[in-house]
Amino acid sequence: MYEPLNAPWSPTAQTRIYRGLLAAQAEPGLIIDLSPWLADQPAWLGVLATLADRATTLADPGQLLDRRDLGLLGAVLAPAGTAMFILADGHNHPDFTPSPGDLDHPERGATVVVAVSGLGRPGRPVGLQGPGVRPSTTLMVDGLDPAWWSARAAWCAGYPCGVDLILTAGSQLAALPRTTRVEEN
Amino acid sequence: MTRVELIPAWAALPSEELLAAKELLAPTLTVRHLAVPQQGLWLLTMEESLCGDCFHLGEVPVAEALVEVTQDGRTAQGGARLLGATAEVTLAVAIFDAVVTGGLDGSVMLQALARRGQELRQGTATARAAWRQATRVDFCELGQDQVGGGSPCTNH
Repeated sequence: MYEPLNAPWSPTAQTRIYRGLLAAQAEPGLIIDLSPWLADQPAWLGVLATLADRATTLADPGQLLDRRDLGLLGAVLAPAGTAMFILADGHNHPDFTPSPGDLDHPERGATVVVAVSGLGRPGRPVGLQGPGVRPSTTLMVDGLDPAWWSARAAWCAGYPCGVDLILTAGSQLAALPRTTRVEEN
Repeated sequence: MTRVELIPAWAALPSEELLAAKELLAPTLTVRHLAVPQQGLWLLTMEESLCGDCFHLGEVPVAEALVEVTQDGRTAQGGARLLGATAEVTLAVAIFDAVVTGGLDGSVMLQALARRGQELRQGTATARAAWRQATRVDFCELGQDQVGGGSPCTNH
């Protein structure tokens, strides 16, 4: 008997999740629902399954990943200060400094996938501005330690270097690329 | 045969034979993937030692699989990374590796299969050695001919 590798490990699911990520990055603050492609797995696992592989490095300071998921991802574990991808629990304040890249290679800035309790439902509202953001966009985020906003502002202060955030809650995600300015209301 | 010898021995057999053996074993096994099976082109990278620049020498088709196999409460892990094989064949070889490594039922059949694969490999190696020998050029004698100006060159 074979235990098939279902979503989010199938190529079809990862292609659809990637499309969702593109849409979210193109329109910061837009909430994308990935539930058809997750098979009841959390959105952060779908995002990592899509983006990470053995050529990438991953930090999991909150130890959210189990051994099997780590094996399936194939990414090499690294400290949060050097990892290309970081998986973090948004309920805790960020006690790490991700790599922002450098002027020669700003694309090496880390992508931080943050698990929160809710997106778009009653929570702490933040105003968004910047490329791709629709006018007067407010993102409701529930279960994110307020320290994340000041930390993100510091990480993204040296544009084009910076850190891209992907907020996930259940099967939903929203992206905050480094170009997006966040105003706490 | 050692584990290192087993995998190329199985890989030398026709894929139909490997897939048939996998189907024969399937009812007795529970197979769980430990890594996402991959099939694709690998870039062969060479790093230049002075500046550390990377050059891509070419690409090769590679497939790999890593599995955990359970049979009657006994568990074993196996894996395979094969050049020019399909993902399906690579998965079969990874399962064979787990079965033989764990000493599970079916090991004897799989070792017999590997011995036949080994014979095929040896046959291929012998044929290639004969071809090499048949096309051998003795450049040493060519040089002597130029210096001495006497006997004709010997080309095989």
